[in-house]
Amino acid sequence: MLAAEYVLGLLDLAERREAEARMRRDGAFSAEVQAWAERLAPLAEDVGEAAPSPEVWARIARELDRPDLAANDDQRALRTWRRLALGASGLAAASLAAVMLLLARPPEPAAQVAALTTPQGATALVVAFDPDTGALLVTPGPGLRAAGHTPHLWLVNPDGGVQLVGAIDPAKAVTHDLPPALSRRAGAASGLALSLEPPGHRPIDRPGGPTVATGEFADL
Amino acid sequence: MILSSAAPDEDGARRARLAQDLASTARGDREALERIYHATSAKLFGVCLRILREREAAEEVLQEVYLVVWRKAEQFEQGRASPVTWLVAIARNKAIDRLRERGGPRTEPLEAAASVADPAPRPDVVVEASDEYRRLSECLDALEPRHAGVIRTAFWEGVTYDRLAAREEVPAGTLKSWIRRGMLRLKACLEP
Repeated sequence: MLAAEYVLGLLDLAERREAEARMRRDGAFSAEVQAWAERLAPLAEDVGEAAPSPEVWARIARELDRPDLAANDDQRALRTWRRLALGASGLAAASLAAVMLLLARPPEPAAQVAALTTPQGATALVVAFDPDTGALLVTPGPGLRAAGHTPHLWLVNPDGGVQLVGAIDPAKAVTHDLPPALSRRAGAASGLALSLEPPGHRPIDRPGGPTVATGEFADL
Repeated sequence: MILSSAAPDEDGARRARLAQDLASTARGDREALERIYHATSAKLFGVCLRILREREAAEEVLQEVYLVVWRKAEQFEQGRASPVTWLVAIARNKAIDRLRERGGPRTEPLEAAASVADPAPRPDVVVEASDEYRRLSECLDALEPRHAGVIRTAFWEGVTYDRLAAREEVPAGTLKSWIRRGMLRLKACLEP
């Protein structure tokens, strides 16, 4: 019922944030929330239409020019890359050279892309990071064999230590918005690693399972 | 109530255009966003007004809603979700967030009431409701009136369990069981 309660707005702030975090990691829960939104949406038909002042659109249009929103062109480019990369050629296209070709122009500021590969050379994960917005785009690859374990992404620091980024959904590409501190770390990382954690285990400062793939960021 | 009386195929065409415009917006097409605005702002403004009951705040939230659409159009699941459902959900969520920041529903002084376009249901207007609306209404009517009532109130007022329980003058536990039972029955009723 949490999904229904979320849609109805009955949860307090902490519960809402938890539900939102769950939606980001749990596709089934997210789908349930969506289903409830659709079930209840007709209630909104009950409301009359009303005309907003004409200035409202003008204000919206002005906001679209703002630099931090314009920077979303970069996120758009990254997403376009993802869609293209996941298209016919699957992740074969996600070699860095291919990514450079697919992007119409290098995003400004430089985005970083890493392909995490297994020792056998298969691509387990492709990670694109936009240091300016903290957006981290994570795309699972054909080399990712999770088999009931939960993949977790780690930053490898220049001093060799590791920093947990978070659990990865092996089934689909996801954009994460990293909080500022983690975003800075990601910008400074010397590499990335992917571990497979035993079911139910939530690692904190070091992997609890094998590291199955590693990679390094390269600028585009 | 003012509801769409469009024939199903017209409705479908409208839906398809909106979905198409959302896809274009996701690629950075401003004119597509503007088309979405013109097609949907009256409805979304109605939603914001109903929740916030105050024009200025409703307009500010409406602006924010379209900026969210601009940034997140790509998250709209083409082919699955209804565009209007998605947009209404964004508007409702934003309006409720704003309401919560403000500290809850405000009671308007009488002289301000006239300046607010009344988005409440108007029984004098003849309507043709959508199939979904009719089905949901029937299912809600099949619930205990009090249960259906709190579900509708929760939808529009955006109050948490505790506040709603206080308003309804029932213990929070009772309210929770009304809502949960009501929602389960609603789900069962809506699923054929």
